[in-house]
Amino acid sequence: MQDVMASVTGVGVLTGLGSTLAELQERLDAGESALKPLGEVGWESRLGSRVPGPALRALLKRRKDAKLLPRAAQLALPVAAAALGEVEDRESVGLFVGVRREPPDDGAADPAIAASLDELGHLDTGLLARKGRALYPPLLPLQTLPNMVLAHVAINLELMGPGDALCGAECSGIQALRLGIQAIAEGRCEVALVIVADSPIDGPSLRDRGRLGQDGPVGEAAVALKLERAGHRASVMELRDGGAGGQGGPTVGACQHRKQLGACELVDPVLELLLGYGHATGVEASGAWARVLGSEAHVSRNL
Amino acid sequence: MRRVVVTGMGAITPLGMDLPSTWRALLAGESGVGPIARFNAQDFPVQFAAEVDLPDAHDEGQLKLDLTARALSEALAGQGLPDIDPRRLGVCFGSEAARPTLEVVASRMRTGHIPGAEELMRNAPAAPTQYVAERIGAQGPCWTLSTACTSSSQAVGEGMLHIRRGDVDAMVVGGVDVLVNPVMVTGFSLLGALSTRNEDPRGASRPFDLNRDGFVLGEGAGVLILESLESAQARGAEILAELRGYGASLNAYRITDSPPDGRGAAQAMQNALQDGRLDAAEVGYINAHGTSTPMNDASESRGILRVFGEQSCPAVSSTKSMMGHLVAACGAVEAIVAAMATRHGVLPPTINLDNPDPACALDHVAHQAREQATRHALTNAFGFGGSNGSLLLSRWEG
Repeated sequence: MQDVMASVTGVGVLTGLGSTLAELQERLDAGESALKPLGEVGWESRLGSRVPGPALRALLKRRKDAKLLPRAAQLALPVAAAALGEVEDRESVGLFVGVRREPPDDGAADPAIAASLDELGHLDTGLLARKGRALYPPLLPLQTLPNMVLAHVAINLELMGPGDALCGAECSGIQALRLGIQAIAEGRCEVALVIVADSPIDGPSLRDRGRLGQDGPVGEAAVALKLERAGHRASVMELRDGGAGGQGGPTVGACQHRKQLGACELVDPVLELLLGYGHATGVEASGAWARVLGSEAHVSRNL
Repeated sequence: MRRVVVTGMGAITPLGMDLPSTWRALLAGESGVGPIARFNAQDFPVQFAAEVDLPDAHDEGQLKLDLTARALSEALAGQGLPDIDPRRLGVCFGSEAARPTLEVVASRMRTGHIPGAEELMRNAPAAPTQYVAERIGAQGPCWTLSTACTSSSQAVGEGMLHIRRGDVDAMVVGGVDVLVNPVMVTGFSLLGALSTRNEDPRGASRPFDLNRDGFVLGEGAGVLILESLESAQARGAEILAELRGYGASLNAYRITDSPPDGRGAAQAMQNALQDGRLDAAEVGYINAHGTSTPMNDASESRGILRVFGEQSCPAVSSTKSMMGHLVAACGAVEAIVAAMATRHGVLPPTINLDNPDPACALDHVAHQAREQATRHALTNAFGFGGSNGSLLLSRWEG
């Protein structure tokens, strides 16, 4: 077995079943479900779990930036702050983020495109330049880049260490976690924050998921782990690196918790790690964390 | 520590459909910028770009895959891949989502048609990564990095770390981007990021010049074959360069602006030097990010001077002056340029640098290529959102 490479010393969780780990665990143990019909986004027939809020004002350095934050960044910021807590040297904190993909932007640009159609309904680039352009949301490119979670968390929490945004669909979370573990183990930073955030419950995302045959319940959630050197006194969980894994297919852990939260694949790897379950790509949890959660054991399943 | 070397390179850029033609154009100081040919841009505020000359470029997702395929073929053409267990072979690629063309979106609004599964998968950020993995049969780590203009710089760096750590013996790394479309021209011009020098497209990208007014959208792909030194030597492969160091940092400043003091850029360069166990004085050339925006170039210059000092500033050039800004692909393509500079002892120039900005007081390679034996070169990439990446490449001397 590999040596322990990093300690988890802080956790932030935001899900439809709670905004603290204790609340989440309590409601999961009680068998509650956060799934509801998603009528608010025009998909009454689909089940999903939404997160209320969150309140961001106190976390933003510039309040006007609130309009720039895509939903995943809105979810990520409070969990990042909760997990990070007090840190002496924020400038050296590393930040590793797993994201799903850019939110589809065709809805937001629709008014600009509608103004750019000719009488037959065909696109006229001249009309786009003269009329549609004025209706194009100027900040849209900045709201739809995959690294915006990374950017907004770094800016608002003033983190300046190494940073990466991984965008490999369902396996992004576990890849981000692995980067964080290695950054600590190799001394690239003293503190690393690993964040996974996803909100696939907007109309275009639900539409696209449907086209991909992913019609099951969906959930939005964010998880953040603060990592420090192995054996840290504040450790609540020790992490080993079990290897690089394969191409990273969907996480396999088919547990009841997932169903209750909604099948939020991106968050699953880290969430399941938090909950004491194994996963497909080889990073193993051990130590006190399983006991904290009242779970039976640390499980490593290289499936 | 395992050493990581480059044994294959391929590039498709606005300057050429392969690396040799791109390299020749770079050394000749040619420009790949011209009036936009892909769509009628005559009423747009920005009417030029650095396009790749591909005849059928209507589907952005497919074009990305086409560019990736060509660059990959070139990278593999010379020496191929080592004959290794596919689980010891991985892919690390930098890219972003492709977007449906406006014609497609308009058609959907008209007909109510919605995108199919194939299009969605083709347009996903990870699509080029998955394409490369399938084509070479890689079963090792398969990662997509998406940090805007820093994406492929970080993909190259993370690929190197995978080999160095012993996860794999070889990685195919690189990046691709295609941005010359009405949406991106509209969006970036609304942000004020693009040059509007419509009367002089070839003079529009002028990094570090006092009269620079923004970047020029470009597109392209770059692919590198990385492997451990042991692997390359065991199969007798010619080593094109050593990839020696990688540094990353965050600005924590603003989404679109660089910090005036260049601190994030400096930190990335310092991290790369530390990672490569090299003193700053040993670096002979920096292929700068050099976008030609007023803010980036001043910030990067300050970052360079923070690391190297005025007295020992290495030669600096920005090849974006010739090929425009390849965004998610620029890190990989410019790493290839840096490798070529160390290999051939010639530094490509920054063209259009007629009046160097005093705020960018560096040792510029202006207008013409400079013959200069250079063992170690840095290449920088800085992205929207404040992600920074620096790579350290060295001439292979056995």
